[in-house]
Amino acid sequence: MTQPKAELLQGTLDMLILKALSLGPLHGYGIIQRIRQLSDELLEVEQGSLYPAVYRIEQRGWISSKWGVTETGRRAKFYTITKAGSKQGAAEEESWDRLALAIAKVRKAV
Amino acid sequence: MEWLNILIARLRALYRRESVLQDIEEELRAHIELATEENLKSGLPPDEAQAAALKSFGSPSRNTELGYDIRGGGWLEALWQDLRFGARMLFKQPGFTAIAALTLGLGIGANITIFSVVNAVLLRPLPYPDSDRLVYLWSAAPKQNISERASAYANISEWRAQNTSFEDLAVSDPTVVTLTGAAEPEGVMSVRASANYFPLLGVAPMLGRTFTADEEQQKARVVVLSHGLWRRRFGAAPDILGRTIEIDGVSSQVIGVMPESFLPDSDNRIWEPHTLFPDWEAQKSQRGTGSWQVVGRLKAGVSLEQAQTEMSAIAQRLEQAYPDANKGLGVNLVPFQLQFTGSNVRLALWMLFGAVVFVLLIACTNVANLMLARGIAREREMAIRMALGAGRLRLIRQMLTESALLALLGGAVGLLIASWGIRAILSFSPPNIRNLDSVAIDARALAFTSVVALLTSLLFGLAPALKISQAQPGAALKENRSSSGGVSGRWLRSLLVIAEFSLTVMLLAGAGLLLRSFGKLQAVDPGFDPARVLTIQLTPERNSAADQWRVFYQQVSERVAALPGVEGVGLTTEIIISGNSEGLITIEGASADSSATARIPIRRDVISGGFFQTLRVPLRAGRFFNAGDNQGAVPVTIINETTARRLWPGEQAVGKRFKLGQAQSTNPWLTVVGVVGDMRRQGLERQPIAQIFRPYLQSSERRLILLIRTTGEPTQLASVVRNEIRAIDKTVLVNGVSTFESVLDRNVAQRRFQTWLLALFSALALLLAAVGIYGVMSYAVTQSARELGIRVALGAQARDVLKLVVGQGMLLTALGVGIGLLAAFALTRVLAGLLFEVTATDPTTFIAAPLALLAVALLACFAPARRATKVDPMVALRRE
Repeated sequence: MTQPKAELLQGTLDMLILKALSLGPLHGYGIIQRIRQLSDELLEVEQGSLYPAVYRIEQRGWISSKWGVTETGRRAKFYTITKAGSKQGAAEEESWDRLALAIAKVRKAV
Repeated sequence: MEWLNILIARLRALYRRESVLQDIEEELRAHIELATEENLKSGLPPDEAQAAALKSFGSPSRNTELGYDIRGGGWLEALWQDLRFGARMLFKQPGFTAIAALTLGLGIGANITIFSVVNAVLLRPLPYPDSDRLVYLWSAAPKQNISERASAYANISEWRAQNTSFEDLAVSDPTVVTLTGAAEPEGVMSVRASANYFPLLGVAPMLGRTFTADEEQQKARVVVLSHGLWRRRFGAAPDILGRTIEIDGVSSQVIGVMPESFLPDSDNRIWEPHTLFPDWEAQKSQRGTGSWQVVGRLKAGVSLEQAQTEMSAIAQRLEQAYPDANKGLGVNLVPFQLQFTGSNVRLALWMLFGAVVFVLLIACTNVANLMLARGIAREREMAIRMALGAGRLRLIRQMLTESALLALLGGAVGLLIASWGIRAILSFSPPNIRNLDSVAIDARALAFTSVVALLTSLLFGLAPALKISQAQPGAALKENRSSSGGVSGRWLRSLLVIAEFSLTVMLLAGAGLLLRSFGKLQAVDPGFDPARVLTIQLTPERNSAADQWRVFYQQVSERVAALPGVEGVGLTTEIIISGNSEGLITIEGASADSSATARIPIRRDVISGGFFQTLRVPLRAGRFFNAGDNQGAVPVTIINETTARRLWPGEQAVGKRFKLGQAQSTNPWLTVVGVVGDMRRQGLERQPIAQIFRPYLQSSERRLILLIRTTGEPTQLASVVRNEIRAIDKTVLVNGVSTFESVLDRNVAQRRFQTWLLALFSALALLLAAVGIYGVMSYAVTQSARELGIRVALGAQARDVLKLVVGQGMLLTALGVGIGLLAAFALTRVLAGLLFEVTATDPTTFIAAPLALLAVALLACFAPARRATKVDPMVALRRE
């Protein structure tokens, strides 16, 4: 953990969770791990913010949950992305990309 | 569907709170275990591995709660809590709850009742397609205060040619004709209408067809029957089409029968082409006013206002083009729905609706006052809740939930009251209001109830809720002085009382005006004496001959007159005149050519000689009919004073002659043998119209009403008379046994109905207002016990205290009454149409109403004031 951590922008957590789950079902801890891996250890999601976000997304019907067993034989709740969730994730990524591009342009213009 | 999923999840969470919490806890535990496992893998010793996992996790219990907030509970849980808490609070104070629910229930119940009536009578659509586009077009003469007058044909032609608002206009003119021929003659109403009348209304005949434009042009003798007439007179004959019947002695072909829904409960109606009027050719070019009713169908998308604007402009152009005939004539558009219920019924119903809304508002202010007073008692509770972290919004929400519960309770009580109220209205209902018998609490009324209940909860709950939520936790908890209501609280309550009194005085003024009108109406001289008169409808068999009927009636008159307890016997075709009919009358001139024909509103009746004596109608000139006025004698008639004035102004009418119809008509000349006083047979409120009477011995009238003046209770004689009639002729149908007074009574039923209802609502309002001021003053006395105690300690006498408290109460009352009187002056003008010989600003009413209210308020203030004088200064001062 030598590199400085990036701060999560508000509203991006949902997108990251959806992205993480788009690669396959995961339990809560797994979501944190996957986001860390995908971001090259740059992003560390707090448990405190993960679960409220996951529950909110579940309420909206973008992901669904089911109790299952991990590779190591532990009981855990696994989350799977739904069709609506995939669509939502794609939409959020697209708007994020647009925003990132726009910000980059503005910054280079100075 | 997202919200639905959430709602279902939340509802589930509400029921299974424990399992949801368990689920979250278990998940979080699994998380920690997984993290520990991972830490172990990266080489940490077991205890450190778990510690690190726990550390990075934060507080599990906080996370659980957060999770529950999202997955379960939330606002729904809070609502559930509020509901449970509110219900507990209401149960804990059964007295308060009962009074508040009853007060609201009275207000809401009155509203549902009247709403149900309004719904049935005013809001339900008519049986015509797109009936909201159907409009009556009347000639109006605003200067003469006439808004719905029949129109002249030449004007109507121009309306039709010039307007762009209507798809079409159709004309009609009702007239009374006699069906003759095979069966016995019978008077029926013939509506003579243009060919486009039925298509315009959008109603197809049940059998056959209606007349065509060609037939209209050719003045074809074709006729369409009403369903009721077809069934009654023609036995619902399926082969009626193409049959020939005789109308006023001329044969006419039946071409159609209308469906029953077109004109329910009418068994004496026919329709004929409007060109059949003998004076049709002359009418075509007539301007000014005429006899035609005009109906129009608005084009889709054209509003009533647009059409009215256009028609007014057309009327103005006509007025300029024909200044003589059309001077001051406008056009007045009246939608069908309004036309059918009559402006008075409509006005009365809206007035009653307004009245019950007032009653509800008064009930609301009372409950708001109660809640405010109770709220002050609960200030500590609220302060504690606030100190424990409840937000202001949360408290308001809780208070409003309680109000809503109370309002729902009131709504339930209201429904109960309304179901009684509707039963009462049905049993007292005046007979002449369309659809009144179909009043019931339906889905619409239920929806109305819920909306009203919830609105009232906001009305009476919001002020107390806002007030309470302003509580300062610190101040209230310090067991403050007893006058914790504070200045603003007292002001709020005073304002509510003032509002209550304003509303009450308006209701009282309205009720007073109606009561005075009713009184004046009762004092009107009807022109006859209806007391102790039995009425019986007699219908001899239709297959017998007119001679037999005359003999029968003669025998009945003689034998009934001989019965003990009978003072007089008379016969007549009708008692009460309903509807308007006009007739042509030709007055005999000096020479055959100088006879003048006039079209006047007139009523014809066939009577017996004893009719006027029995009803004690004064003879002004000439004589009554006698047995000599029979078939062989000269045709004679008796007319009323109005007719005499109309036909021979300033002259002696007895001995003059006139005939019905035009000069060339074959009707016989009738010689006037007597003039009698006017009878108000159209209802006490209307000026008597021209009435002419013919002796039954010179007519072929089959159905007559027998009038018997008795010395005792008239109905006691009914069975004796019935036996007597049966003894003369068993085949005669005897029905409609009633008393003259009850027949008249039906006529004033609507006025009595609206008057007593408004009086009842006003009394209710007065009671509520009295309770309101009593509550406020009692409370004020309790609150200012300390102040009063000091005053008494400083030497104030009981009288001073009394004056102080009563003075305060009366100040509020006077303010309310003043404001209310001003509003009443403005509002009662609306009632003008319902008043009879009383102006909308009747001084008696406007003095009596506020006085009554002041008296009641004085009484209501007196009890608390008396209590105030009993304040023991020592006790009051010590009560810190």
